[in-house]
Amino acid sequence: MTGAEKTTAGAIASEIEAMLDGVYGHIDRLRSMVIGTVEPQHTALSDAALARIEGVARDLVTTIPWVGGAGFVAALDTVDREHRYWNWWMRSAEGVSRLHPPRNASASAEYAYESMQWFRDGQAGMPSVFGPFVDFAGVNQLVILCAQPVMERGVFLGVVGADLVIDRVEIHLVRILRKLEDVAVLVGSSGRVVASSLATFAPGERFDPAGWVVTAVDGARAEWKLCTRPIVGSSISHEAS
Amino acid sequence: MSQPWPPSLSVTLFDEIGTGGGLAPAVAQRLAEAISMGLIADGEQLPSETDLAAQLAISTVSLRAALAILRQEGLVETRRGRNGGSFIRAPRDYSARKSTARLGHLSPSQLRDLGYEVLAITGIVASLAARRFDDDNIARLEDLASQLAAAGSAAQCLRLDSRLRIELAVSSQSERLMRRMVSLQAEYSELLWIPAVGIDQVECAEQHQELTKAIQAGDPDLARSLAETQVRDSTRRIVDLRLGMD
Repeated sequence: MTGAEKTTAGAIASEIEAMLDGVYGHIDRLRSMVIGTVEPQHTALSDAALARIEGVARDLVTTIPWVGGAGFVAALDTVDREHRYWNWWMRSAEGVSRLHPPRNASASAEYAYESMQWFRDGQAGMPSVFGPFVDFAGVNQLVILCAQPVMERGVFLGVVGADLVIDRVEIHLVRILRKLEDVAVLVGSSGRVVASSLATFAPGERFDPAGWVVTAVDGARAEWKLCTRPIVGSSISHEAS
Repeated sequence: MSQPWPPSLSVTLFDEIGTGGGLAPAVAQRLAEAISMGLIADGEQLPSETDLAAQLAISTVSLRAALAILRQEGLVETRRGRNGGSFIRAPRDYSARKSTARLGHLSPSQLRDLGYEVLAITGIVASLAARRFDDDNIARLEDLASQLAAAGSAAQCLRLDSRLRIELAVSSQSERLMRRMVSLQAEYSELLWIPAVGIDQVECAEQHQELTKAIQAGDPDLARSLAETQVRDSTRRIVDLRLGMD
């Protein structure tokens, strides 16, 4: 940390907001693709429509290195006469490939996304930045999901979003957090650590902000908190564990 | 376009496939376990043999042999014609006879060893879960436990109980422990739900509920101790049944 220029918690919060805004810029493009192609009735997505969604998702995954996947998760019984439907693109060994789609109703039962918080927020018209969580039966990775509802004339069509993969995004966030002199812990909406300047606080762990200085990282959607406190000798890591 | 198959969660079953008894039987065994756990759904269509073999990184010869075993066991059905292809047929009833035969093929010492691994993984995920759960995890754990209490067949109990233990690992927010748990449950749950082992589904559901409460209370030590006690008891019952055989 020697020689690095130190900054304020407010400036760090803005930098993280700007980073999320960058992701949401792409997500908003995805949303306009979906609004143009999905009707609020049972509808089949044409190949051209699918290709447009794929194009934006591909673009997102290739331009932002810490995004692991992106796409569209439909409101129940909205697309292709399927109860559950998703069109999700993931970074893979071959570049970008589509996440297994549900082949029939019983096959999709394992991934009951309608009960998940990010989807219910979407149904209520709210964006959310959810996690970190292991998205079991979905992408099966520890991710943060940036989600945005798609509403057309008041009808909920589904959620568009992007996964920030902890594997990749943690280092990037820590680099930002370490510009601060203080110990910094970025805490997500479910009260769990997103990233921290100290290895003591691991992503996914529940965090009690009592005794910390809290700076809001709003962006429009995140409800993240930047918790900071001065380093006291070398006692901090013992104290926290 | 070729799509990953099996669905990404069950592909984790193939992470550590043993090839001691030949590749085809090992692949068939893992697929059968995934079907019994409900990770591959009834009616699911298999991709073409070429695609599937490539995805499982085995030769088409080995794949055909594995599919032949599954076909013989009635777990895969191949239909000809316009809507033809190979489809998964999940068994309506859990085959206690088949699982008992598998139990007989494992020595008491191998069973204890399997039990130790389940114990180690379950203990650590329970403790981590108490520090790392989110509200969705708790909701799913509660929902699965009440489904387990009301389940109507051994097949459903097996599916729900293993799904509960996997959710426990998911709540630990560790990808590796989650994968390990999926793979362990495939081996362990099938033995646990042999009726002669004598697991009471209501009691089992209550234990899961008690564990969920400890996790929600953020008490890692209590969560670990409850989870370990449950596994120790289960393994003792399985070994006990095995000791009385042949």
